[in-house]
Amino acid sequence: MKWLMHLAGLTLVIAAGTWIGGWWMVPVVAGAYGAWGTRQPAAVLTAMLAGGGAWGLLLAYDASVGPVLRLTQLFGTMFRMSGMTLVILTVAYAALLAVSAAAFVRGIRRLMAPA
Amino acid sequence: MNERAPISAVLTRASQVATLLLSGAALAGALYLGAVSMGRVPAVGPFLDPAHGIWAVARTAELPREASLRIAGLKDSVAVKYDERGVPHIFAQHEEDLMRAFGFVVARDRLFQMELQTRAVAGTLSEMVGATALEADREARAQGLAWGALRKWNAIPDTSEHRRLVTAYSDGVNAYLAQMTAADVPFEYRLLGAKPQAWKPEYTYYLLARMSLTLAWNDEELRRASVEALVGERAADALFPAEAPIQEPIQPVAGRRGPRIAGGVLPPPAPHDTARLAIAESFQRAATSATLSTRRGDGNGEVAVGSNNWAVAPTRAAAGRALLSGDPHLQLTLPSIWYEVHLQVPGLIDTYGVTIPGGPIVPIGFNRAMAWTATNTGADVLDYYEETVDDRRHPTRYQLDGAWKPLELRIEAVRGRSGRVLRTDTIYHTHRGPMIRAGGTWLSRRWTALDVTDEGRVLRLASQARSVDEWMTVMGDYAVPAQNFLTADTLGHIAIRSTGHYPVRGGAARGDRITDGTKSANDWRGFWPPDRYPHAKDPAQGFLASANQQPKDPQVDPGYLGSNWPAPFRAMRINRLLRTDSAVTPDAMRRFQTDPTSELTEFFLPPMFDAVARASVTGAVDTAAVRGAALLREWDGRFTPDNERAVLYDVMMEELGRRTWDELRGATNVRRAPTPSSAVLAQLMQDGDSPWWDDRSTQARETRDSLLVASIGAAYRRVAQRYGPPGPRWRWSGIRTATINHMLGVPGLGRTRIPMPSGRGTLSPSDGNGSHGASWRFVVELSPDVRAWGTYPGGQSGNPVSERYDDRLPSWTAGRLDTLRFPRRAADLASPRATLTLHPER
Repeated sequence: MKWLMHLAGLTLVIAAGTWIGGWWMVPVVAGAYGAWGTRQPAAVLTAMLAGGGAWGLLLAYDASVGPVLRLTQLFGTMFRMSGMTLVILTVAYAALLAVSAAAFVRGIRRLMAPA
Repeated sequence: MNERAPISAVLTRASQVATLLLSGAALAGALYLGAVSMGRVPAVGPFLDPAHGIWAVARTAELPREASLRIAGLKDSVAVKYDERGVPHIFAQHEEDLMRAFGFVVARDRLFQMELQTRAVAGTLSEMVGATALEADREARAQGLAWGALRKWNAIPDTSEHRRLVTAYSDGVNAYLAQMTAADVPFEYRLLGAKPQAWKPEYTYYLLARMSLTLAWNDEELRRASVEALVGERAADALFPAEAPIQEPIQPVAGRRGPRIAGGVLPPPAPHDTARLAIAESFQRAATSATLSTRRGDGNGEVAVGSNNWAVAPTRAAAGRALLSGDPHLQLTLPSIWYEVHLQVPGLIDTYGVTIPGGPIVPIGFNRAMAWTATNTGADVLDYYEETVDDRRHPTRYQLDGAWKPLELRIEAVRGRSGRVLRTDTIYHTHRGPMIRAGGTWLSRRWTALDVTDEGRVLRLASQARSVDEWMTVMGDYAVPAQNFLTADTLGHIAIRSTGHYPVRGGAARGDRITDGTKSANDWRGFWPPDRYPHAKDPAQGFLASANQQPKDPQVDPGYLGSNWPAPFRAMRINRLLRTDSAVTPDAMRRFQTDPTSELTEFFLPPMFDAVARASVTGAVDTAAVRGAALLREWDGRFTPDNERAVLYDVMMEELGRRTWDELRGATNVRRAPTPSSAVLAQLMQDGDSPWWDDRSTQARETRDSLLVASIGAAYRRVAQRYGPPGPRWRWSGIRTATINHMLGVPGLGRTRIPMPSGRGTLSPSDGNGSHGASWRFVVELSPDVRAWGTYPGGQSGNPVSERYDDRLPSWTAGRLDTLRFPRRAADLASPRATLTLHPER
């Protein structure tokens, strides 16, 4: 339950950060979480899910106010692939940013920690 | 145990380092992908960002129901109400406020289009899209359109009202840019990884210059040089005549109720002049890509851009009110070339029509008192002079009247996306204009589009005229591109005038030949006076029409206006429709706009049937020709989408043109010279034994009849081979369709395979790939409460996921017109789709 709370909170913070500051807020927030949450056993996993989830949430919001489906169809035609591929890429990219940032910062923290 | 502990610690440390390195590498890679664009792939971070990136395009696809904001420079509030078709109706109290809001509103829907078109003129596309646009940029700069446009803008006095209004429009565009959020950035900028640039008032003049390029570019003399080399000057004069062989002029000739068809025999082709061919080929190469795009033919020398307009006097209208139809044809693109708008300042302006995004004018439209529209005159307003220079490679002087004159130099540096200079060119100018190099020859261009004239001011004022007469007076100052402006008013008058600057040439200068530039006597001496322009007002026949044909019968005025005129078959068809309907309704006007019949068929089908019948008697005919002729006898002559015979006729005409004009195919290293208009081919039909019928690739000597038989036979074989036996696969809708490409050519953003009632000689002529067509169709009834209907192939929004991107395409395809709302007050527009209120800054 606590982990779920962590996940939801981090997801919202990353989403808000992206909305206010842009894409680079994903690694910044996830990195901060990686530093802060070193005692969390699944901090890196949490960051990854939160990163992908945050952008998924923003995409859902876009879809609620605009023709995202039409946009995915358009991408499908433009890039000759399934329209959903770009949705998946978007979520996956945010997850990659978040997981790599969290793991990197967490790794530094651990290396710097006394043996 | 004591020894294992350190080993475990070392292993843990190593694992931590490895994890760190791995995650660091992944992070660095992800950040690099996110921040750096690679070739055509934009930086992934800002691109995929669902809050500000490409996905945000969906959030901004539709206009908010209500919006209100403050912009600098307004004197009063301005109300903008969008009707159900997305047309903004702008209600302002001052003209300057109107222009400011106008700029804001157009930028809101079409920002990328505005910038792209401006850059195309300025030769700065490479700064936006990269080095792929280098050659287009170099060409644009060599043409000097931006140079000329800037001269026009700089010549407008700082204190003039017009300058103030154009500047207000520009400020409006920039006000929109200033309040834009990252989510508002148009789709294409995101694809290109580019950012919108600030707007400058002179860009309006760049766009007018672009229209001149499309409509006033005429380098007939360069293309014609190869014809002269191939068949001789006399034959070239006959094939590309200054006097069209079929006369159906815009200015009606009293007492004439049909076309005047010139008789006469075409001079035989002279032997090829191989020495001239090499020079001619370099001239033809110099005929630019712009020329090819605007005057692309259908294989029989037809111009694909074929606009139409006509007006009916109250005496021939069912409701007793003047009617006007506008049907300008241009290259079809998405977003569309036009943007529909209604502008109002009480007591001063109440104008509805279409505008070129970026230009604060309504070149085609109507107001409470009158309506106006245009077709291209196609007059020869560009001449080439062969110059003698002091140095072939790096000239500094040119010869004029025996003396050396200094050349003016213009240095043009094309930059890439990073700002790095990709190429620097020196453009040389004589007193006539910029020079181009064609092989070893230097040619200077004299072109009305580069003169210091002010079409923007004239067109803006004309849209406020209260009558046909007032409109014509204001337009007396109009220079370029020359247009057949057709007008009608609520007083019941209709009038047409081919308006523009038509050069008076001096000395031995001929518009259709390259002129000796060493003599100033060959320079232009001025322009035709407006009262000599082809014109007509309230003619006895009760209607007026134009379709790019030669505007004035040379028997009425032999003055040279141009050569190689588009064939008049569209004009003949319009006139026939109007002659046979003495109670024209607005709906009939609409129906005429997509009329699928061609007058051209009358010149070729009956002689072909006769030729096949005669050949059948003598046995000199194959079964394919007999079968083909039989199938065409079943044809109703209509190019409707479901027609299954039009394809056979179309291929027959292609075969006939190719076989007849084989003399215009030179040596293998010379590109085929342009082919004459189908009106010349129709003229040639009168001379059955002309040497032009002879196909040089055969031993026999062909005549008209044998070529007709061969053409229909070959056409049947080709069509059957490609589409199988006669049946549904011959359907015209599967063969000749309209293509509307996106301005950047991005797949998915354009629309293809749109069935159209288009064919050779129909009101909507076809050029094979169908990328040109009716860019705006409208009908106006000049009743006391003006009523109007219209549509264009696209929609108001430039956002490709907006409903308003292509919502008019179905009505355009079906030949329907939407009712145009023309409210007198903002309050009259019930339930608007969206409203925008602009307030002055506090």
